[in-house]
Amino acid sequence: MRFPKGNTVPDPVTRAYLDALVLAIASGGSSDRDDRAYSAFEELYDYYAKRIKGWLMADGMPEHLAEEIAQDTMLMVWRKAALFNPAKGPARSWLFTLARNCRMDRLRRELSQTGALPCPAEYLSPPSPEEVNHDIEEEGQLHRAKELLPESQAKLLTMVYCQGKPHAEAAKEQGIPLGTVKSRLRLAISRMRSILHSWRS
Amino acid sequence: MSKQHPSPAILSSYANGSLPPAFTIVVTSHLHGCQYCRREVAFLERAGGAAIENAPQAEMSPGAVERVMRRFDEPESPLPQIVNEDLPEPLARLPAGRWWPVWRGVKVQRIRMGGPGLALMVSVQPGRAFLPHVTAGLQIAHVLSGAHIDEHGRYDVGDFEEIGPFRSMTPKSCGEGPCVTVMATEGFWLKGIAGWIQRALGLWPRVPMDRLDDL
Repeated sequence: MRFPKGNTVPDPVTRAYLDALVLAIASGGSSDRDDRAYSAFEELYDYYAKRIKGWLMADGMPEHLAEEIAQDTMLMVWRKAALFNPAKGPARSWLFTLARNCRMDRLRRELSQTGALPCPAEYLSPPSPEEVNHDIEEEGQLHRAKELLPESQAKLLTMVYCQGKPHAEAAKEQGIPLGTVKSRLRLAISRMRSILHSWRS
Repeated sequence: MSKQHPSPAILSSYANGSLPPAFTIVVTSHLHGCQYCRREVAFLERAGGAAIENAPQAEMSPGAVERVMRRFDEPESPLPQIVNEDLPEPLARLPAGRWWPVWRGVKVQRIRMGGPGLALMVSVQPGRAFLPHVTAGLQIAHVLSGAHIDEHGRYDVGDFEEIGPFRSMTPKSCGEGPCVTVMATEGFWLKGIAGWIQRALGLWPRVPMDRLDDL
């Protein structure tokens, strides 16, 4: 089974598929894993590693560093797969937090002259919320809600919250003042909230 | 219960992993006690997960997958031990330096996180105030115990204070017990005599942090 090429909008099908891959990697315990785990790993690697690398490079990271972080992340996927719990959220978010933590660790290694790391990023990452939304539709809703926003707001949301661009950079790219960026973002978020809220109630 | 929270800008760079370590430690401390912000961050992580899948792709170098698989058996780095049971996670696991008395009723402890910015634990006796200063950049603080009040408001246990550059402040401990905060700053200029000492010692704050310029 392979992902359809050019599939850009995440849907419940790819979600279930990514979840299944991570669960397959976790199968067989941590020490003695079978071929199924290895082939699932290779498949996830094919799908995911180039996306992490692309995401980091789009954020302005040099290629060799992005490559290393993508490799670190895939190593973490292998090691931590047993900790993935689909009831707590989709594999997509779980994979993102692994990539994020590897990025933080690598950045801190680059930044600190002594090389001493007081604490790996895993311990700095946020505790998960107690209330977990089991709604498999949630992400689809998120995307549909974003589509209802005016284009200028949706674009800013993507730039700042998905691509992690600083506000100033987004302002420059859009050719609008910094204040406008901030007020548009505030507006976009409150509108997303009310849209999602109205759908749920 | 926290009443004052990090701004969306801080939370999104935190969720992205682009917030410098010194600031990350303060935000994480806040998240451990704040369900509201945990949900915000979980939301941003979901958005991030979708963003990675839709990001432009960059092919990995040939043979990279074998290199990763060869590392499967490498030993993992051990978990940091709890070194200070009095403190909440994640501060409890950070190697604690010593407390330095810096002023009447004020002591500070440096948390070495590497990278730009300075992370400190600050303890101020009730009725005493931290030295008057002007911020040189972003400065954030999370109140662990006690309370303090300054030019920008009152901050109780669990509250998060976020101050931009060039703001003057004199946080005064106003609770029953000592006010203990964990804070991170790009730097600050002390005022008055302390400022002269700071200048004489050449402790000028200025840390370039381009990613936070727009906060």
